[in-house]
Amino acid sequence: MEQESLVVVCGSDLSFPNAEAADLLSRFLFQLNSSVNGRPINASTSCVKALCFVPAPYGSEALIQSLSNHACVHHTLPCPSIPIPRGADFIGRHVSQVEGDVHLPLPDAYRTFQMQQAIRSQQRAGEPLMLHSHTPGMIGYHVRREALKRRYRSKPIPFVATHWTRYQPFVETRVVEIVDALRSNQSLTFNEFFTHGGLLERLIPALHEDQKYAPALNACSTTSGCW
Amino acid sequence: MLYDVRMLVNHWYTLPNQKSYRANKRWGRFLLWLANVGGRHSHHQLQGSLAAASGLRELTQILAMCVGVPLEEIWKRPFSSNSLAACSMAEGSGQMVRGYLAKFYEPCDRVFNLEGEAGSNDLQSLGVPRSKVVNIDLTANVGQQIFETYRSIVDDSISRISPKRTKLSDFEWGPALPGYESTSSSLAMSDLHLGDGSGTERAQATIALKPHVERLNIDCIDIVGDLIQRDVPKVVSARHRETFLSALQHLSGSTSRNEKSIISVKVEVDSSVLANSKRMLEVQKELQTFAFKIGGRIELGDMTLGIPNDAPQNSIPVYMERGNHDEGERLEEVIPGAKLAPSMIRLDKSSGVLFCHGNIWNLPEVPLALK
Repeated sequence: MEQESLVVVCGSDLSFPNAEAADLLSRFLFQLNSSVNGRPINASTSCVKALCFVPAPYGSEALIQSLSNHACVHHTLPCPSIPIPRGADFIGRHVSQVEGDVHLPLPDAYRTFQMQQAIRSQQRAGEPLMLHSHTPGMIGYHVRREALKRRYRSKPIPFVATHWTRYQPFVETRVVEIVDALRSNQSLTFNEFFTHGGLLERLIPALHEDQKYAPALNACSTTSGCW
Repeated sequence: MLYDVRMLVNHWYTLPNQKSYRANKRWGRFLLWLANVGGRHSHHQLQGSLAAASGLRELTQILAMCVGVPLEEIWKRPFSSNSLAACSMAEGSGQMVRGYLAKFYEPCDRVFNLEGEAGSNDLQSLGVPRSKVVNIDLTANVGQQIFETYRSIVDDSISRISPKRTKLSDFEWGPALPGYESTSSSLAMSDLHLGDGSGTERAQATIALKPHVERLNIDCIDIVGDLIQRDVPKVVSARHRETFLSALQHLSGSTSRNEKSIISVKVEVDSSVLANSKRMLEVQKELQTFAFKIGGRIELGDMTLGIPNDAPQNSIPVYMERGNHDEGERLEEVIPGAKLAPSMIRLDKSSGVLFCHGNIWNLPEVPLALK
């Protein structure tokens, strides 16, 4: 029997396996990881490979692996909760000084580029492909945006998301924390204000691009199968 | 007028529990209109503002009656704005997050639920239809469940699926195709994306085509588009072009059945893309250099670059920048009968063209597959 393969390009805003306040998702990711890596030898006709976009720890090297050698690989992307300084910010200053006093330099373009490259290279190989957003945060938002973009261009890719109820209080807590930090700090500098504002925006991305891909969204709402 | 204004003020200060309320209201509106139109300060619309302010005061009084405490007293009390803001913030952030989640899940084909009935109900409250919810059993094989979900999505939208491209490794090079044993054929390459991927691998793949070109009796090679790649540095694109055309020269030996034929490249230029005269000059210069280097001849529009010679019988037409061939756009203009390629490599039986999609040249396994 011919073995069918599927490549799942997925994104998670919580680092695996130490997913903060997300034990269920952590368990899901662990099961996914073990199921794609340790496939049973018996007559399983399906083969799933996973390409996961995960947040990068501050100051670490970018992690980019090839799917040709592994069944489950990770690509790291800048995490919204980690301010990423510009090169100029480091001049004459220690890293610890820079960390607390930087703007978020809008790393969206970098995320979009990395994700586009990965999806494009998978599409070239002609393999079945599916996009999967593990969390609805910034990286998940970019996975969703790629799905909408391809749907808009009449080259749709199936798009799924993972939901678990503990994510909502987790995000709510973060929102309240950020707003409290903004409110309580009397000596808030403009830099800090914009950093926190950026965090809030990136915790719940604006989805403003939905307007651009409105035809794709409308097509989705009228039919059960959107792609 | 003063009387009228006083009547107006009296009206708006009068609670509407009087028997003559309706009449007063109508009379007040009339007076308000009169004051706005004919009053000394009518251009300021002060009367309207006065009426609005009075209405607000009236509303405040009603509210005070409902609360039971004069509102002025409440304003004077010490007030913890922080606690009130915290309460509203917690509630507001909850609503904000739920609104966001509903919006986020809207375009999803399926939503994986990890928490059984509780998660399913939560998704329903977010407006996700039950048909889109997939319950994931974490004790079973998650990969298998994901694959089944993919299959169900595909089954749901079977009419919108474009044919899957045949992988190069699945292409049956085999014996001569039935019915085409004695028919000469041409090889068309599109979307070369010079500058993407590895130039060496692309050249190796081109050279590896040689035995198949001989076996399939191919006597013409068409190159469709993208010899000039716009989104990569010009230097890189030129280097890849040189490697590719050198490999093509090696391949052209098969088409002419001579030891080595003069390569003749016919270049068609899309005016909309190469309208820039400076760019055009650069291309001419580069092609001229290249033509001398390989000892070939290049036709660029009306110009002939390189070594002038009689027109060879086996020319290799090269078309540049003729649209997006990946989507079949304008491809038919270049190769009659050619449509969007459903596979990366195929024989177009209507035109006798062996169609190689340019993307295959960027895959590392191409040279291996062609051997």
